[in-house]
Parts: sequence; C-alpha cells; structure tokens
Amino acid sequence: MKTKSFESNLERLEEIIKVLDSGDVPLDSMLKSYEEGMKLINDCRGFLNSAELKIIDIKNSSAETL
Amino acid sequence: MIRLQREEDKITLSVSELTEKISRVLEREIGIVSVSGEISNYKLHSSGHRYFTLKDGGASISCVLWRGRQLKFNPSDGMKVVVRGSISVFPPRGQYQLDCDTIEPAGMGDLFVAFEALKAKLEAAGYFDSNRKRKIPQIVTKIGVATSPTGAVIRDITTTLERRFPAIQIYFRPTLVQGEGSSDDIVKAIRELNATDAQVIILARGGGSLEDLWSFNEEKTADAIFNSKKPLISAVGHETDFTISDFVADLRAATPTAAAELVSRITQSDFLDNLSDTSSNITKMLMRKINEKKQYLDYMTGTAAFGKLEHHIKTSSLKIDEIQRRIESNLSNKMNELNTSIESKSVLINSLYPLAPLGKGFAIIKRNGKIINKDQSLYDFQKIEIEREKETVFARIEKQLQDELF
Repeated sequence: MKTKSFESNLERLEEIIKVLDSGDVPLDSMLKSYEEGMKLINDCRGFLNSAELKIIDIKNSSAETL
Repeated sequence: MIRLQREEDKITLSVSELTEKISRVLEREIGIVSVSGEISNYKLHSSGHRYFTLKDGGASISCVLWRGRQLKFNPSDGMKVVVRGSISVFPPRGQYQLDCDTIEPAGMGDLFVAFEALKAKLEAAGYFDSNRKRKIPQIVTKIGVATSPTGAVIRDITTTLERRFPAIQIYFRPTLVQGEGSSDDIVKAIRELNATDAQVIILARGGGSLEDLWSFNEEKTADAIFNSKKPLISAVGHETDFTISDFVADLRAATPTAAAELVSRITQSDFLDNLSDTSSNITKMLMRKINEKKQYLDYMTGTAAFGKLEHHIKTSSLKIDEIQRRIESNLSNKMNELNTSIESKSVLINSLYPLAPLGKGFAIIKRNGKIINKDQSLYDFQKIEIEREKETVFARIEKQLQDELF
C-alpha cells in the first residue's frame, strides 16, 4: 500500500514538475503545485529512508519436494 | 661422386618442399572428416576467428573456426563436440590443424535440432519481436524473482539489490530450474508472480550445459513468458549461453547480478540526490515565476497606458467634484427661491385666513360649535354661538326675517 503510493507520488511529482516548468499557469495555482510538490518529495524521501530490503517467499509445493 | 652428389641433391628437400608434400598428402588422403572430442583452450580471437584444441584421452589437435562460420551454440572448455572439417597445414610453424566447417555438441544433436526448430517457429510467430518488448520502469520498488532457492543466484540478486536499492521488496518464488517438471514449475512461478503487485519479474538460473538449461528452451516456458502481463527479465546461464527464454523475455540479462542491476538502474542514493535536485529546481521555477510577475507589474506601472489611466482617474475625480459642487449650488439656489416664494405666499395666506376678518370686527356664527354656512338658514328661537375675535357669546334668535327680502 505504501509502495503503491510511492509510485503514484512519483508520477504526480512528474506532472507537477511539468506544470511548474512550463510556467504557463496563474501564480496562485503554481504556488499550490509547488507546495504539493515539496510534500511529495518529502514523502518519497521518507519512504526510501525508512524502507528495508524485504524478501517475501511465495509458497511453492514442487520446490519443497526437492 | 659427382653422380652421387646429384642423387643426394635430388632426395634432399627444402623444408618448404617437405611441408608442401605433407600438406598435399594430408589434405588429399584425409579430406573432409567428422571428429569427436572435447574442447579445450577455446579462444575467441578479437579478429572473430575461434581457436581451440580438440582432444581425447590420447591425442589432441588444433582447430580453427573462421569468423564467417556460424555457430549455433557457445562452445566452452570441456564440452564434447563433433567437428566437421578438413586438415590444413600451416607451413610457417609446421603445424597442422583441423579447419572446421561446423561444430555440434556431441550427443546433443536432437536437442539442438529441437532448439533451432522451436526458435524458428517462435520467431515466425512474433515471439521475439522487438516492438512487443516492454520497458523496465526506471524506478522499481517491488520485483518478483523465480529461481532456485539454493545456489548463488538468489543471493547474487538480493545482495546486489541490498547494495543498490535497499527499499526494494522481493517476492521470491522458489522454483525448480532443472530436471523433470522444471518447465511446469517455471510456468507456475511466472503465473504466481504475475498475481503479486511486483512491477517486474526476474527469471534466473546459473550456468550449465544445454541439457541443464533445457527447461528454458521449452515451448511452454516461452508461452508463459510471452503471456506474462508484467515485464520479464531473463537471466539464464552464463553470458555466453542463450536460451529461448532470453529471446522471448522483454530484456535479457547476462547474469543474475546484471538482472538485479537492470531493475535498479538508478541507485537509491542517486535517486535521493535527484529528489534534492528536484526540490531546489521547483523552488527556482517558482521564484522565476514570481520575479516574472514582479517585473511585469513594474513594467505595467511604467507604461504610458498606466499613466493615462492615472490621469484619467484624476480628471474624472475633478469632474465629479465639479458636478457635486454644481448640484450643491443649484440646490441651495432652489432652496432660496423656495424660501422667498414661501414668505410672499404666507402673507397672502395670512390674508386669506378665515379668522382674519375677526380682527376687523366681523363675527362667526356657529351652532353646536359648527360654523353655519351660507346655505343654512336660521329660524326663530334658535340657539347660536357668536364668535368674535376675543369673545364668544351664546345667543337666541328673536325673529327670523323672511328670505324673500333678499
């Protein structure tokens, strides 16, 4: 769930960068985008810094007989 | 002596002559042969030619496979092969070698035929088309891995990812990668990993003989990879081994470690740096916009149009003041006029005041407090009130004279 939001955060961040980069929006909506972008960056950072390598085994009947 | 001398001259050959004789004999007498043996000292020269020694328990022979000759597999030392070719002599070194036309793995002929047949079939069916190969996302946080639970492969993958992108999550499906039932298990593993939320699947196996890798050359494996909804990286065997899986997969990795690198092309620390750059970049973008607006504002207030507007506002307010003043003075004139007219009127009104005649000695006749108007007549003994300027008297009519008199 958290990872999924990481991916969608990244996607959204890319959209925001595009909007900000074009500069083709009113200042107040630009300010909103900027705030949202900074929040997304912090969320992504937080996710990466807190996550650890996780290995989830998927049960396999045929391997157990090995 | 002289004759003998001549005889000796005749049977004494130069090295070149002897070598030429040997080469003629070898090439004519032996011709094209098939030889079975084991490869050793296999070398792929930078020129593209391939050199190796073919040997068995008692002998060895140098072999060469020229660059232009196709190889359907990757030979390696220790491999038992059947070589077809002809003997050639290399005069400068006095060596002979087997000039190979084809090399095939010994005892693997059937597998090779099957491999080639399946490869041709799948290629014709579009399984290898480059336009159906999906891209591996730049950032991956969940991957699926199908490989043997024992051996170096899974360890190589996890240690590589631990180092490069520790936030990654691995769905590990322990999988049979060799022997009976292995292709069925690979198919199941691919299906099961497709059911997870992994973004990419790695199908991996360490190196081995063609027989060892066979489950990756079967049609059912190819079908499972072809039908995988998630992008799949095939990392089967060593760098020199190619399997059908490699051809069908979206991406082929030379080794399992390389596969792990392909799902973490941007390392986590680089990505964190990127995020920092991004945050300062978007701040710059915003500041740029704000400055733009500021400059525009400055520009606007400096323009002639803005000056005109200011002037217009000033003259307008002057006009408004003027109008206000005019309205005010008009109003007071009117008021004065009205006052004068009211005064003059009040004199007239006063003169018309009904009680005014009382001041001149006239009286008002009332009955029960009401003025008796000119149409009402009076009669004998009627009680009336006579109102004068300063007194009111009650009186009684003595005699009413006839109206006719008037």
